[in-house]
Amino acid sequence: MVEKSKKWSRNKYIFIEALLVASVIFLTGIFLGSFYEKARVDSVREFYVDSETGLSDFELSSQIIYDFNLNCSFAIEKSIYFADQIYKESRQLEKYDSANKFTNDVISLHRRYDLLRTLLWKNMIQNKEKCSTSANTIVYLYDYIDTSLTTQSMQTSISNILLDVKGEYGEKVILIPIATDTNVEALSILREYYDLDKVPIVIVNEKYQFDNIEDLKNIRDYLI
Amino acid sequence: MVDVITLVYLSLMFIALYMLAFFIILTFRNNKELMTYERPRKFYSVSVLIPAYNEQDSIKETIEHVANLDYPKNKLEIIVVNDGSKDKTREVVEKMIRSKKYFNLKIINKKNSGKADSLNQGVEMAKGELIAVVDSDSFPSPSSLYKLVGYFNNKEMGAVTSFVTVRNKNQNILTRLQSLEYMLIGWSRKLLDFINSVYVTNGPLSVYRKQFILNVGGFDKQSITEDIDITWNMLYHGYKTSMCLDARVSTITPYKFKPWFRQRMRWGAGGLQALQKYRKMFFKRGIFGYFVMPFVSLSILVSLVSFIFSMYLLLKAISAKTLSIGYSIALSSSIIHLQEINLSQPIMIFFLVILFICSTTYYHYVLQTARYEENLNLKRFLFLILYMLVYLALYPVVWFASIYKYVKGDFRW
Repeated sequence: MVEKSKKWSRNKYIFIEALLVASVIFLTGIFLGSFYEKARVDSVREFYVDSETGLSDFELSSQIIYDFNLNCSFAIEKSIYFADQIYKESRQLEKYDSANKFTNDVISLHRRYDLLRTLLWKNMIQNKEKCSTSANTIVYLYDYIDTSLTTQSMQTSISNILLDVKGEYGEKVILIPIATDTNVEALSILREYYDLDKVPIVIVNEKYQFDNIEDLKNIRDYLI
Repeated sequence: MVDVITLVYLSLMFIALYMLAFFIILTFRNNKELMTYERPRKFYSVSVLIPAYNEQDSIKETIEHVANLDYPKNKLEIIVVNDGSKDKTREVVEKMIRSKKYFNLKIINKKNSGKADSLNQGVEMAKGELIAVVDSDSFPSPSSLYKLVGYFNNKEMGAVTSFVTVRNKNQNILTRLQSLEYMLIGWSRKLLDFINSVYVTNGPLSVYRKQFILNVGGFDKQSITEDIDITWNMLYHGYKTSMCLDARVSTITPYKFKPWFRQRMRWGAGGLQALQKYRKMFFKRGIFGYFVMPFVSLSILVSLVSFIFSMYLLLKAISAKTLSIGYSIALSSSIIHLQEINLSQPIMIFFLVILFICSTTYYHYVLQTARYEENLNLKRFLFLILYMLVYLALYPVVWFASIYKYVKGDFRW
């Protein structure tokens, strides 16, 4: 048996050694996690740049179509295509949203996407005014940052039913979910214009508002 | 920005990583000394005290095991302290004494006054230089006492404890889980020995220097875990404590949930009693104040905080899902969508995975080295997972119950 004093002298630095080992693993974890999160944000950012370019293209195309009195259906087709693209990207972003965030990158990226979606909505409103279309616009306004458990659950359910509708109607439905609390000024103006003070709320073709979750059951009746 | 929940989670993870690293380093640094023991330079006279209360079923076998210890018989005295048993404990022991088969076997019959008081009366009557305490439902292995006595070559040694195994291990799943638990407790206690921090000398078999017991005022009658208290008292007075992994004693553990829970609640409340009693020693007087007390307190705190944290997250998730299901039913929409299933929480998952892999591997190594079962196999691995995920998850519940017992002032056994 080793004498107590020998045992102690052999192990007396154990507290510091364990601290060092734990710190190394811990910092590696933080580093890897942050690195991974950054990589995800970067990949979404790339999508965003593409979407931003796509929206500019879409805006310019619409402008040319109207200025030169070209075929209106082309503009609508383009909106649907673009809306679907941005919708898929937003799904990806939503997935990251539910993960824990160590940086504000995801939140600021969300804000930029909200801006993009607001722009899309505005363009859809304009396109619909100028061209007749059989596509439906469903705008879903929700809270992103400060949500209670009840609101969160309600929003998840609304989101699920809208996904079902999108799944059923495909390209006939343009689904535009926009967060209301990421400070997009343009959205505030649109909300004021359409008198949309409640959140969450679903707006179908800028005519029908659903702020009561029960009423959403009948949303299909309001689609063209 | 990092929120409170994340901070709590990260703090818990760091503490868990620290403790794991601490025990792994201790294990590998002291690997060769884990199973060693010192030969006694002299055979001290030893009085074995067996406190007994209603133990008619096991007392005979316990005495037989003690009588068969590989230790000079003329240096051994066996004293059964019958703590007012209402069953036939007294008759069984007196019959054994009359048979004259057992050398130096004595009995003290007294009114029921608790284990600590029984031990004090036993110490008073004992003639040995060392006092061995053996629970009346425990069975020391033949070489155990010899291996423990060697530690008293060190003049400062106050108490040495043994490695407890579960005798009724194969009775049911609860006893099997306890067997695994005792194995891991024994192992970690031995590791703490390498930094002079053995803070519990167990009831099934521990040996004390009689003079030191008297010096610290004997076993505390107010304490419901006199074994924790006497060890802390020894440390408080600057005496050494130690543990021999190779000195084994088997004991009978509860095989039903309720007695198991009551036993653990008593241990927990006893631990809190000790923390309260020696609170002034926090961050004072060497390893006892700087490590043992903070270590015990932190273990309790981490257990409780983890539980509250997990419950908070679980209840939040359940409430959200329940509400969501309610809404979904009202809307006749799908209850769950694939997009809701999300595992992309890299930092959280990284730590959990690292902790899980490291602790499972480490525990496996421990069980293999301590020869818990013959071979590494899938069954044992699955059992280990069950232990880690289910059995350990019950600990915080026990702690809450212990705190309640303690706050209520219920210091009954």
